[in-house]
Amino acid sequence: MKPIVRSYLTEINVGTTQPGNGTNINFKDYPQLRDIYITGFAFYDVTQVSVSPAGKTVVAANGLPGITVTLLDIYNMEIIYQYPSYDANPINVSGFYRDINPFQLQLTKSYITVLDNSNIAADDSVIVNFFYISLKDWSKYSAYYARK
Amino acid sequence: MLGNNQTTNKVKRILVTISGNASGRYFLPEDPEIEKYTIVGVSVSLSAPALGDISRITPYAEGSDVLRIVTENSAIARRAKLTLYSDDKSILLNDFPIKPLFNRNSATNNRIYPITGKISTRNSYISISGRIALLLGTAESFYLNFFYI
Repeated sequence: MKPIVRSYLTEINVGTTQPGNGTNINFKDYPQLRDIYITGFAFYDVTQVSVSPAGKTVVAANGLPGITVTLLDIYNMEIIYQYPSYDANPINVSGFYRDINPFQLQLTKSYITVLDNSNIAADDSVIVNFFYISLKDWSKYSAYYARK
Repeated sequence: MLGNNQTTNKVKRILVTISGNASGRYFLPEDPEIEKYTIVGVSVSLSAPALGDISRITPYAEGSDVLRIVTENSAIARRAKLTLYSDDKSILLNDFPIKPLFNRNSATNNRIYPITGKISTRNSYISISGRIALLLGTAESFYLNFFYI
């Protein structure tokens, strides 16, 4: 795990009806997460966060295996494609969060995919914690991520 | 700290007391000392007094109330989120869930999140969200551990 320089908790609400299998749901726009290099991310379930920042119920622990995440860079490349969210929950991987080789994230085109909706209820929220470095701070921290 | 190639034996414990109606924001007490240093890790103590750490936290207690700690599996721990501001007043952590910061459990193998940077304690807070207000009979405290170099 690399240093966590900054972190932002985001939320995707699945909507007022249960999402169908194969549904893509985009992230909202978070001004803090524009012009950033993403360095890692973590998913959490209801056993760790019971209520989202917006006051919604967080997706159940057995709901995460039915969800993947796709993250795009500013050139619309799917750098992280359908990564299993269950694997990104630190409690499932001995406390580690997932480091990734930093890239400039385009959050509003990034999305989660519901592959199995059987444990996801209407109005649930999926919680994703992004670890990032802002563009203006990148020169200070880029040495941590230099390829060796 | 694991992963960021930092080793330190310096730790500062800060108590944040939650009382009464538990929803809302609870600001960290101002601590000029910790603001001088670079934080390299943050954790929350502790999952239960039965783990044996109670003797270590007693000297920090200033009253009987603060001996009551928010335990890892309490409803409040799952609703609480930590927001830390950096020394330049920008947000370092925004709504970081508290429960994963409890590092003393088998699932996380005592790993500590390598949160790095200088913090401003006067702007930082723990928020407790929820549509239902949780009423505490007695004040309880979060024990935040800041590892620094």
